[in-house]
Amino acid sequence: MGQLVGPTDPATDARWSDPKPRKGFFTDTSICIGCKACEVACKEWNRNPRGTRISAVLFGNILRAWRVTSDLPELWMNPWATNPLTQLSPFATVAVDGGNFVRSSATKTAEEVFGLPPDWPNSQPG
Amino acid sequence: MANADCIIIQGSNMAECHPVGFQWVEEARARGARVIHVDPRFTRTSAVSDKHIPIRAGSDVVLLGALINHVLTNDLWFKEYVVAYTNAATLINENFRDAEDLGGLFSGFDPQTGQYDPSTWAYAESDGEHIEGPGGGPEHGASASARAAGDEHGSAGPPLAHARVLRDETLQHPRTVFQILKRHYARYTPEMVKNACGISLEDFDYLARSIVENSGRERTTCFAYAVGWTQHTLGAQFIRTAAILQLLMGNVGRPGSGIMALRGHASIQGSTDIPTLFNLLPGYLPMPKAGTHDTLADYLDAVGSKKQKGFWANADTYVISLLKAWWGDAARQDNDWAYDYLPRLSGPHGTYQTVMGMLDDEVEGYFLLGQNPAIGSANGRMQRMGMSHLKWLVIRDLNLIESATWWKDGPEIASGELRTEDIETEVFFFPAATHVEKAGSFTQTQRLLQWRHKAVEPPGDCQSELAFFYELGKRIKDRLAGSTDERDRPLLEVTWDYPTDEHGDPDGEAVLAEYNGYHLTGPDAGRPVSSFTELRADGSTASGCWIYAGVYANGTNQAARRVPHGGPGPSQSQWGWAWPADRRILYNRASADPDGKPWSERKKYIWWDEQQSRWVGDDVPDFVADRAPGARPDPDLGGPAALAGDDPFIMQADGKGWLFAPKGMVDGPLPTHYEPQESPVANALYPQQQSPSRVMFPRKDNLFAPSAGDPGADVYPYVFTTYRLTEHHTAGGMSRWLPYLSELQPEMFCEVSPELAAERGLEPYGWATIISPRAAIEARVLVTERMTPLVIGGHTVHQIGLPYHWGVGGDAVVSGDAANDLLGVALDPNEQIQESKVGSCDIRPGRRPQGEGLLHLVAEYVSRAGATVETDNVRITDPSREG
Repeated sequence: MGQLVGPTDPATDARWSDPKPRKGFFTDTSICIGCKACEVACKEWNRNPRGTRISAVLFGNILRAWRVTSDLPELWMNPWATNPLTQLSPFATVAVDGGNFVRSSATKTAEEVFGLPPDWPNSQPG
Repeated sequence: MANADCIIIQGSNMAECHPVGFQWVEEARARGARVIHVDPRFTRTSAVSDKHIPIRAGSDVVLLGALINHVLTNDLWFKEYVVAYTNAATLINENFRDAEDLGGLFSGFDPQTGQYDPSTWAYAESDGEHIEGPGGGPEHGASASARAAGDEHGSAGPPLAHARVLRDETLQHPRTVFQILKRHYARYTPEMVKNACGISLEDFDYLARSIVENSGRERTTCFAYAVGWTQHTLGAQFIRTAAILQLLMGNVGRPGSGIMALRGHASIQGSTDIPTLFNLLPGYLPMPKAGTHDTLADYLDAVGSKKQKGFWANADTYVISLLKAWWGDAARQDNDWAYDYLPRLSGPHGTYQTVMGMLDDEVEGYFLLGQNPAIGSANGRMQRMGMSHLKWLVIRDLNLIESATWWKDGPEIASGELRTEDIETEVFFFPAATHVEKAGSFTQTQRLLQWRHKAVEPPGDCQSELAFFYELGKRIKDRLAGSTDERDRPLLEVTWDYPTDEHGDPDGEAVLAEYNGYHLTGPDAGRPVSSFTELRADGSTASGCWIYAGVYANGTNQAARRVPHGGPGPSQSQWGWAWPADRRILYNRASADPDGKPWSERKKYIWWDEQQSRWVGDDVPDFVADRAPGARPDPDLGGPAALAGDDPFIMQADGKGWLFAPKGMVDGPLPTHYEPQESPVANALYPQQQSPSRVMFPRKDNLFAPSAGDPGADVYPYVFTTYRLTEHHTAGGMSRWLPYLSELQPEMFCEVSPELAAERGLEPYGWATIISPRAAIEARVLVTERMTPLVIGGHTVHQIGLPYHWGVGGDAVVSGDAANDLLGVALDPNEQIQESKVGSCDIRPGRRPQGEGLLHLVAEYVSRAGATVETDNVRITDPSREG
């Protein structure tokens, strides 16, 4: 429970009776006004239960379509998450403690975490 | 907007309510623009602006008028632009008297009818006379307001008999518009802004400096507004004030300039172009009025005189092409192109008058299409009670909205005012196709038509509006087949022959092609027209909406163009299609100086090319393409031929931008501050409290709170304003049935400042009851510094924010009390819009009473305030009250 990636399926761990493949998507946050539509889309797509808040958002700056994974520097932890991530994240993280941001550094690259070749999506995982 | 150097958002929470368009504000910011948000509330728009300036709801004319005074007094206006392109130099009739002279009234007011005779506002003529409207003088306000005449010039100026005006280009003559303007706004000072709007001298200075420093040859400022400006008893005048300021600063017709009217839904602009309004025909042609426009000649003369300047002089080509599109071969020269098949207006048949007609049992049936007036319209109780008088009610919607279920679970059932078994209204619900289940065009705020393809078939019995009305029309025609009754001929002979697909649904592109228009005769017969200039008044062309002519040019759906980024040009002209004639910026002749040269390299857009002897540039020139800047044709030529090379406002009857409106506004030629219909604040500028020509409905079911100075005003001491949230869609029909959106904003709430919470003992997240003379509602309390108490005339005025998305009913995922139940009905006389952005109320902790107790609570307040049908419904305020 509460893992981002790992040996078991987080959807099964979250007690989904009929777990479906999870989806993520990229959105341009430079025009963010905080309307939470991205969170709604994420929840609706993944059929997250009503009344839950997502755990974290993987944040990228100036994403390049051909090097998306290497442009993902930080995982922003949702302080109001229904299931806070308990597993130590392989990504660099940003958490909120009171009014302060608490940052941790990465132990793995995004390619390693997702098991993707460095030039994904130009080449597919072998 | 992306090209603006400064953006003032006032009367709109653009980031939350127009998030798609807001990308251009963000784009402008990324390029270094300053963004200022003027609003009663701090919102997400404020959060991403450079500055938020809180304002008292309804006081915008004071602020904008003070900015006008500031730029005039300190000589900060754009002289070359103003002298050449506006009516600043034009002389006004010597009998004109300003609101400054008459205690807040202009000359021509008739206290009996409550309306203006605008003849003294007219332009002066050389023989001492004034320039009348065509066809027998300026229309009296009584009949103009009855048609909501101000709304009929949505793409145009009102007509003038001719364009021979008197001008003093030194602007010194006391009867020039410029001097009248100076005198009119002389008392609109920063101190007045502080006292009437609650805006500090520092904030005013910041705002004024931002506009001034970002206007002129090199830079432009843009305004954006939405219903925060329109929904007032003088809403149209709010926008006129901004128009005057923008003209004075040279901010019209240039990149990053103008006043953006943000529209609330995907095609609200389209629904005024192809109108759902009672007083308009397609393309802003007025609906003919019984007794005034009895013949086609009368009507055409009233739309646009052949002797005035500009493109309204060609109104005959637009009207006759429309009649040919509608009645085909039955529209012939010998029957005035079937002009008599058009219905005539007999009065102001606006939505609120219609509801009162229901209450008087004058209206039998009602169609509601994607509209939820039980929640979304002012004075919700009146709306629901009106529907209970109908014989039949048809609702086409995605869900069983409250307007479809009030008869079993509405507030009046709970209060005991209505009993289901007594209601005789037969309610028919038709499920509607959503926007992804049908093809069609959206026309958005930039006048851009964008085509939408059908993604999936509508499920079950769901149907598009187009399919529904096509089928309804066929059935009515079948029912009437063989009738010899003259009144059935318009229906029997209307063209109704759209090709259908394999599901029997009519083809939306065929309708678009009809709007565009086509040649009927000659070698081009059947060929779509490419521009409205190809339309003729001899019956050889048909066009269902003249301003859309060109959207189907070359037989191609131009609205479906989707070149990435709109192509390489700065006007992004290869994305969609903009009316009229695919012009992206209106009045763009004004982007060049009087000699036809760009005002600056930085703001270059359209200019005169000497070699080609044509206007060229980054957009379709909004001008006669080969009219040289120095051309000065005889004004008596009339029409486009009479436009001088420095007449950029090609739809105005004199070719100029109107600082002063000699015609067209029924409530005054210059915007003037009046307080809302009900207000705890006295008018600081004039003895006259409210707009004298506002539309009022003195009725027991539409009472108002006593205004400042009247006994009982302290019973409803607070100001409330209504608004939308980004998570919900208007009256909730598209969002309160969706669990994921409902989860984000599950409950009705009110925003109050910490100071007001302390004053009234309101607990955060607890309940509050808000009481107006119309209703009492309950809401969760959000105590927030987003609401700022304002000091007005030495007293603190608290404002309460109320989202209006919830309603009482049993079918939605989330429900709650409706904010619009608190509103009364008082209208702007120009276009009959209700004042829903400001009202008076009281607030107290705790939930409201249930059942009959709720009625007692409202009645107890009314009785304590002494509110009667006369309260606030007096036209001329007693001047002695001023003291």
